[in-house]
Amino acid sequence: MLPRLSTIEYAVLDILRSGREMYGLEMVNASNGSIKRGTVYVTLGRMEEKKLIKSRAEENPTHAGMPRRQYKISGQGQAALSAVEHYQAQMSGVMANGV
Amino acid sequence: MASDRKNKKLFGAYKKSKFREVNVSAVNERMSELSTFIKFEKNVRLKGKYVAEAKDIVYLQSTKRLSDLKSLNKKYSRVVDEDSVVKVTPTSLALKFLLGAVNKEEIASKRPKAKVIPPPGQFAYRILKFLIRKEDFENIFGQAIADMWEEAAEADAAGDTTRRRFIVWRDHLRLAITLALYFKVRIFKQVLDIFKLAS
Repeated sequence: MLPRLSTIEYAVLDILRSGREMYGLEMVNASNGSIKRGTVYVTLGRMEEKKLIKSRAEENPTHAGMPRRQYKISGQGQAALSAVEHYQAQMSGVMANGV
Repeated sequence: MASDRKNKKLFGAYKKSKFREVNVSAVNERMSELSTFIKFEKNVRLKGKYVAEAKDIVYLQSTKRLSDLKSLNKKYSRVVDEDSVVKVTPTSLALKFLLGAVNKEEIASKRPKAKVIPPPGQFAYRILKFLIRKEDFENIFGQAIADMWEEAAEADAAGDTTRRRFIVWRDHLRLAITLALYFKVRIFKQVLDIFKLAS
């Protein structure tokens, strides 16, 4: 079954696909406006509940104050991303060839 | 020895129990950040943060409120440093360490005039920490406040006070909207749970 991903969820997975750990603001800056600052943490929380991403608190925070949460794509997230991209590729093939 | 300790106590002196080396980290091309940690009493820790390019700004944070810091300064006007009593308050000692590191690292050639400015959103931080579940606070609100601190510090470093003010207002407004939505969703979920139980 094709996983249901919103546009923001897809954008987050797309940014995290390299496997690098990132925090929310980094993702907002890297997304060129597709992820908004106001919704990023709520979306990340929801995605973590869906087990699409994993997070952990920064171990040695260089910033004084609140430790940042670093997010990383999970195996389930990788699978969801490839499934959606495979479906998109199939659909664009159908559209190009005509039905 | 015991009388010596008693004398130090009488003169408001305190032997610092824990001190962490000053940590220098590059935030971006324009800005470096220095932070240190000094523990004065049980549960009173001071963390300092200095943004290198904003030469007159030092953020000092504490596990306690600012009023507690003031009373700490009142209580301990001197600090025992390597067996000599230094006439310095806890907060100014934290600043001294930070600024000492600035000169050592040659980030600033001139000794900067330091003033203590708490990071923006301290009030919101304490209120939200009290109101919100720990897990949600750490994942949503705390992260948004950390972003505000970072962006405000960047604006400070660029000397752009208008932008700093804009960031602080904008992020407080966003926090308020998110808080309203958060409670709305929580109430909705609770009503739904009650409805499920009833049916």
